Amino acid sequence: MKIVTQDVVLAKQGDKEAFGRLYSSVAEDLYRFSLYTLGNVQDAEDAVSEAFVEAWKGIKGLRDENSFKPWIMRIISIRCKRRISLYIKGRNIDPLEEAGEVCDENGHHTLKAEVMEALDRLNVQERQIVILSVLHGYTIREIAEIMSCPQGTISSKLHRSLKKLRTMLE
Amino acid sequence: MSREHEMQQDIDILRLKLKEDYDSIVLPKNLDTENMLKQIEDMPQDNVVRPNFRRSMSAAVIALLFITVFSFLALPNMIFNREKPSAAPEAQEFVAESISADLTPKEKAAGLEEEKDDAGYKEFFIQGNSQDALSFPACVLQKEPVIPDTGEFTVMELFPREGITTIEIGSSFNGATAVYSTPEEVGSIIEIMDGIKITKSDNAMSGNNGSVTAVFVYEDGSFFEISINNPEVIINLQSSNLVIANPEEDAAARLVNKYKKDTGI
Repeated sequence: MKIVTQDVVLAKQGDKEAFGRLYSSVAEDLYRFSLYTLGNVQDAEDAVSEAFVEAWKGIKGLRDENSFKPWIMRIISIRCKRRISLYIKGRNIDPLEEAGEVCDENGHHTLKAEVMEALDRLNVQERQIVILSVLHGYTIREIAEIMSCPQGTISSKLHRSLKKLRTMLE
Repeated sequence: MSREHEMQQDIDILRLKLKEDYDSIVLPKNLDTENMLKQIEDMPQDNVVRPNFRRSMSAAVIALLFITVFSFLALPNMIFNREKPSAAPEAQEFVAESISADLTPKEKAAGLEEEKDDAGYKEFFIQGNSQDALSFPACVLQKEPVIPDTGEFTVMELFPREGITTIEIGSSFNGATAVYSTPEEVGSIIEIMDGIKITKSDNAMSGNNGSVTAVFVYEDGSFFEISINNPEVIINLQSSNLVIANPEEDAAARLVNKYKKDTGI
């Protein structure tokens, strides 16, 4: 869904309806990204909810009206990282480990399960870079903006992560 | 197959495997716009400013506290040893000395300790803690930028610490085609650093003009990456958020040139 710049301007002035429209245009992306990063519905919902409130509080400070989407993706990315570190601190495991195995009706691992398991073996940042690139279609430059990292770092990490995934899936 | 093609192929394959599932994820009802807007209905818009303000105030209070404690600790020294210069250069010198003191025998044999002082390493501005600085491998960059298709290349000389088994070196121009040091150049570095594998990197690549990235791979497989950007000579150690900026660009170039002359590289 396309983001209307005018809505960003209005939201910055405190227009809740405009902010709602902006949220509608990115909500699914936020949720899917969180779900794939965190691996469970509850945490993904909480992350989106927190990101929503944080974005509302912070939108007044958004300088470039055209960069709403990378900006809110950066917020959700940070929220997911925080959730994972809290999770690891509290329980010493990765949430994706608890996501459960995905099997077909015969009890065999599905293709998706294999890919998910491979994704699980990447670290959080690598996983997020892969999701943003593969599933959201962001360019290296855009991912660098979202993750607040140099493009070179994103490029090398993406390359390394894809290489790891390829080896794991072979 | 080029690195870009290889990456795109991997991306396409993964997308094929996951996209359908990913796109079928439906937003739960409790996250729809109507429900989410309820969360902020009673929230005044001036909340936008307050958290930042609170954060700024907290930071200011912490900074003030830090300055107070630091001044208190430094007070006896200031009273009894007035001829000492200000605290800032002393702190920089301490870090530089730490690096120098931590040279490996190979680095010492290569005459680096002496060189570092002459070349202005003490003028390095270091943000981060001294622990980070201690783990920082000696690293020097010649200042010519990378120019593709002309045979010119940026030379980075690396003197790694113990435990590093592989160094991958790469550089790029405009974030497009990677331009690597010549095999001869890399080969000469292998001679200096006996036992350490130097590879042309598939992983190390940077998106900035004339920048060089090096990936240091340790025995246990862990690694960190540094990017060096000309002409600012800013070394960004990604793994620990340590940023080292050398305002004395010429000092680094001098060191490289003298080192090359001395070693005949």
